[in-house]
Amino acid sequence: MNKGRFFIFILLMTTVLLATATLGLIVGQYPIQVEDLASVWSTQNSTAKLVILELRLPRIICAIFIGALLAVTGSCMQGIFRNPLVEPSFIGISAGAASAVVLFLVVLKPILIQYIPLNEFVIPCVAFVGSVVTVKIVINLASIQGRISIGALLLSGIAVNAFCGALMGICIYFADDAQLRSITFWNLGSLASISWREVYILTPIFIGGLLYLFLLRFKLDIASLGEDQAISLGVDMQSLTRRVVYSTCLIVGATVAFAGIIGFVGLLVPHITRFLVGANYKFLLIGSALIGSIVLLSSDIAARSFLDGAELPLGAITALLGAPFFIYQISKMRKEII
Amino acid sequence: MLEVKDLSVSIGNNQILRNVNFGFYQPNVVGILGPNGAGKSTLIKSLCGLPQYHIDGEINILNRPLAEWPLEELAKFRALLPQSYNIPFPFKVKDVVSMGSYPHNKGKQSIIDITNAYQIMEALELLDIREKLYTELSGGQKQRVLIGRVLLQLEYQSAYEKIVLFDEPTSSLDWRYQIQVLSLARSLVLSNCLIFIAIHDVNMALEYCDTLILMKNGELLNSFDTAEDIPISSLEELYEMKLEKILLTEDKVLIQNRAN
Repeated sequence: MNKGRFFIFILLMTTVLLATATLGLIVGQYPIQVEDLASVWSTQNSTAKLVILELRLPRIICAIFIGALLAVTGSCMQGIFRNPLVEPSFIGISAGAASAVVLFLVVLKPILIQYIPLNEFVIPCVAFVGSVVTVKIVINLASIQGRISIGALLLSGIAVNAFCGALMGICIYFADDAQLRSITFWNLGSLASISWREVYILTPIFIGGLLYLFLLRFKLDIASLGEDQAISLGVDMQSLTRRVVYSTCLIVGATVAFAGIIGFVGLLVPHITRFLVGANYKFLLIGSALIGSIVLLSSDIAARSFLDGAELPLGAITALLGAPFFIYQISKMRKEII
Repeated sequence: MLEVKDLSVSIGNNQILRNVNFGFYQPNVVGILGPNGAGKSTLIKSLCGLPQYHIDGEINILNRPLAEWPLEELAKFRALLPQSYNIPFPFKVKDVVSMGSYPHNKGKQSIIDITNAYQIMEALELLDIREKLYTELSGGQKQRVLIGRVLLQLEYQSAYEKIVLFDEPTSSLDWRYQIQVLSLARSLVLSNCLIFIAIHDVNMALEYCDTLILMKNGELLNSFDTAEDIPISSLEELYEMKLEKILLTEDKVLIQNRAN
């Protein structure tokens, strides 16, 4: 991919993203006509204005942020583990964050709230701690003599995901009605509870996270060659792995705290993007961010407009898109083995 | 340039190298010969300082212990070609070769970097496939692309003498490319380079290497300075088979299996 073609790609994807965002503003339980969009800003029509400004706009912005973040962290994780089948939710990052949040809400919060005031930053922090703990366990389990085996990594991910699922299952048993709803929400993912508050908290994570990972682009290219060659080219793989894994924990932890577990975006999007712009991380990270936003935004629009008066879980929609792709990848690997 | 004293290397409980000693102080082509499992790759990788090994003894590069060299500094004058050459993502050939300039430009390529990469691709006859995807190449093509990457890494001016570690650089190559690659490797001596080549083809080793190190069961058996020096009995002991040495010309010999 040369710079000119990449520029055209960016223009095209940005146009698609803006068109999808516009679609997101008008479709939903309260339909708004396209021609009314412009007038909404100036009029005092309270319902349409409220729906657009207070419900749909923050939700669209969050879908863009979260889609980009999940896709970019997925690309980076695949690079350091040198495997296109890795994504944050497979190795326990998302489940760890979600179960920590659920445990906190059901067990700790009712006790703590009596003694200390809890603000909106507590949940993302809890999610971060949960994801770091699980990812530490998974990576320790998967390390054989200092090297991470990809098979062991995915298997440890399954084990830790199962354990986190069990923890959430127990919490469901003890939870009251309101807590039950929130547990379902974290398990299946949704952008229904997004407001401007979440946008404000996610903005620095979005900008900081993407910039930080973009700075690692050349190192990630080198990492694709494998540890031996990366070290001979002066890239400290252990330090790079730590940087990518912990920043992914922070980023995915934050997205889980606000939107629950949204799987497969980090798996599907990097693959599509590599097909379109090639494997160079300079192009891959920017491309993944754009395509990730488009995929999550369209999934969210689908989630809230398929059913009348109700919403489908967002995580289920992304899994519906991503799982067939995962199966395709496995069948491709089978062919290569035969 | 490179000195190894009482080197023992183990992975987990498995000891792979035992009490290896050698030192090279001039640009030289060093062939490492030995049967499968002799420890050739482990020796090469431990000279590169890969973290999965437990190393006892000393490895000194330019009179400084290997562990004390910062990775980024080492990468400017020491390169490694590993045995496996799988890259899971669809990089273009020219992108993979260009990665060799990373230690010198940290990824920001200038015109000089690109020219250097093209010159190396030309020397390795890779120009025709430069736009192809690495994942779609044959084994031999992949190996030559990675050799290009290594050659580019050493193409730059360095304050120090250079060291390059080739782990079976010709394993997937046809005869013509074996000669091409080994000749290119040899020519690195002219740019002040100490070259290690782990190799299986004894005759190629005799032709292209100045010094031969014989390894077996993790130990260094012998080392010989010229091809004529090497007694047939050492090679017979090394490979556990009957061999004979045929003198082709005054300075060229051929080793072959002695029938019956």
